[in-house]
Amino acid sequence: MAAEVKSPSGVAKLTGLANFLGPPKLLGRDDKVATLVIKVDEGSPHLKIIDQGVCLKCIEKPCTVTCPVENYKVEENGHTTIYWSNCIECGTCRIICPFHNISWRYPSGGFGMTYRYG
Amino acid sequence: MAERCDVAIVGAGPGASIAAYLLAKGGLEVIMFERGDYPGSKAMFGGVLYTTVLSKFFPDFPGAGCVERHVIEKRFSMLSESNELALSFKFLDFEPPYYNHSFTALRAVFDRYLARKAEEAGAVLITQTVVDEAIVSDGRVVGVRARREGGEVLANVVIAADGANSLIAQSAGLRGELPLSVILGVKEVVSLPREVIEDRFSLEGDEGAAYEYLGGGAVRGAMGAGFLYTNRDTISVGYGIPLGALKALGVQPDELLNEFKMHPVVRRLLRGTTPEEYSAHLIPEMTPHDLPRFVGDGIVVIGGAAGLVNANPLFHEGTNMAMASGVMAAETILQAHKAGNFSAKALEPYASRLRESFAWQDYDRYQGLTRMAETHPQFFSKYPYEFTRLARKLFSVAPTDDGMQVPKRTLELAVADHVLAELGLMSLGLDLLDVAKAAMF
Ligand SMILES: Cc1cc2nc3c(=O)[nH]c(=O)nc-3n(C[C@H](O)[C@H](O)[C@H](O)COP(=O)(O)OP(=O)(O)OC[C@H]3O[C@@H](n4cnc5c(N)ncnc54)[C@H](O)[C@@H]3O)c2cc1C
Ligand code: SF4
Ligand code: SF4
Repeated sequence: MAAEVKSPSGVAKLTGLANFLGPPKLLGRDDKVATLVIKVDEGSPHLKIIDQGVCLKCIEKPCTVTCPVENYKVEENGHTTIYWSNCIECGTCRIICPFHNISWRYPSGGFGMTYRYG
Repeated sequence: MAERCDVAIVGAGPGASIAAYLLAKGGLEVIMFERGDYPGSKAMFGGVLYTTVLSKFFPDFPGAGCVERHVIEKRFSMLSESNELALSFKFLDFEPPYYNHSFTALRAVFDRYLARKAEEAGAVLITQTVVDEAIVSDGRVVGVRARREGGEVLANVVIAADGANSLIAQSAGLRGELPLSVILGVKEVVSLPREVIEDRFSLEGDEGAAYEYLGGGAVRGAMGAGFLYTNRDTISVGYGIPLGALKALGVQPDELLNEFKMHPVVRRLLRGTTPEEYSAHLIPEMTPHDLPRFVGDGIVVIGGAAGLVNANPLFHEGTNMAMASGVMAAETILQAHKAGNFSAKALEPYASRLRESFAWQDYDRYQGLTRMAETHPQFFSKYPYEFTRLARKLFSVAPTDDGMQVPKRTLELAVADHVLAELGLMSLGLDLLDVAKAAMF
């Protein structure tokens, strides 16, 4: 039974030390998101702005600088859009919005992101 | 007719699984709900798993492949923009198989291991199922509402083991909104062949290293800390920062992670690594005032949901406290089951035992230090830079114009000057006094 739990790693194979002396590989936001398995519940956003009027009056807009996958964007018309399909379900935006203006719930079972390492 | 069981547990993290294991062994019908595809699929931590409680129930865990490396080096360092001042503890004399009860681990692996133990004992695990709220009737919790067909499950007791966000405790009226003192943890698991890791970090076999970077150049001088832990053939690298500080910093969290990885000191340790997985999760760091009540009629709150963490630059503990609270909750529920009484009063022994245990005492002691740090931003924004600068001054080997070398006494005076001019003996003294005071309680 012990053998049933396996480390998901084993990705890097040793092919000469020289291959592992270069700078660490960096990923931008999109590529970071791409490292995750995300099953999108099409048509059922689990996050919603409750009232755009409140966002319009919100000066600091902390949601736009604290989401670890940069899901909050202010559009040209001043509305705030949540690109919810990339959500990694951390809960930050729920707490950071000073006006509790985000209707926040977990994606339904079977959807959202899955960690292989964690 | 709604389904019925003795105990409904929300979550299948370490706290939930150990509670489910003990309850099922005690003969109770237990259902554990997990919203992810498998236990650990939505969980993330630093992380070093502290195995004191675990080893008591599952003495064979080290050989089961559920942990990565046992920690033999704890290193604390302060970074300036390009330099480092560090203090390292190496301990090679702890005995196998548990060594110092500190093992690096990956949650997608560990949580599955522990949940399987609960299942083997007879607990039912239902994955891919979100519990939306506790069902409250006449002021007492009588079950949970899961988001699926026929999702109402009635239970004598509900265990809120749903981690930092704990919407269940909130839905049962046991707590208000989370404060901005909660910490956002952001990390990447990056791969590197195990031989390279062992060589680079001076490790033999399954030995591991845990490096902590306190404030300073790790996270732009904000109140936060970076970390780097060696796994078998991956490294966990990331940082934690309170939401309030993150908001004030105004930098995208993912960019801040890249910045930390590229810090000249950190970059050298990460040469040749490839990111395998990005992740982020909250750490429920808060004042006693913001904590939930631990028991209510028909409900107990454990682990991260109860705010039980010891999260500060010195310690990053939580998994052990989750497991400890799971054990104490299960033992109390077994008693309550015998008596056939699941009122808050009957469940209260859980809360009182918790308060007598390390889980509460460590939380309580160190949250004082964290509160003190909140009012002393200089510990993060100033001292790491200044202390590193002092070390640089003292250890500079400087030539003089006449082809000789600056005498040490001159360097010492320069350091003294720097302390007086930049740090101020008075304010430094007062700050150290504040640390001492905070540590007393
Ligand atoms: C960045 C970071 C670093 C950390 N470092 C360390 C460390 O090095 N060492 C350490 O000991 N601790 C560390 N911790 C703390 C540690 O992760 C937590 O204290 C611990 O995970 C709490 O365990 P738990 O069982 O209470 O809850 P969790 O581990 O959070 O588990 C909760 C489970 O419940 C599930 N769930 C949540 N809500 C629902 C719902 N509504 N319905 C169904 N299922 C649900 C989740 O998917 C999850 O599986 C760290 C935490 C973070 C975020
Ligand atoms: S913080 Fe809240 S109110 Fe402000 S822009 Fe974001 S969602 Fe809107
Ligand atoms: S829950 Fe976290 S990842 Fe998802 S949108 Fe909010 S801040 Fe971003």
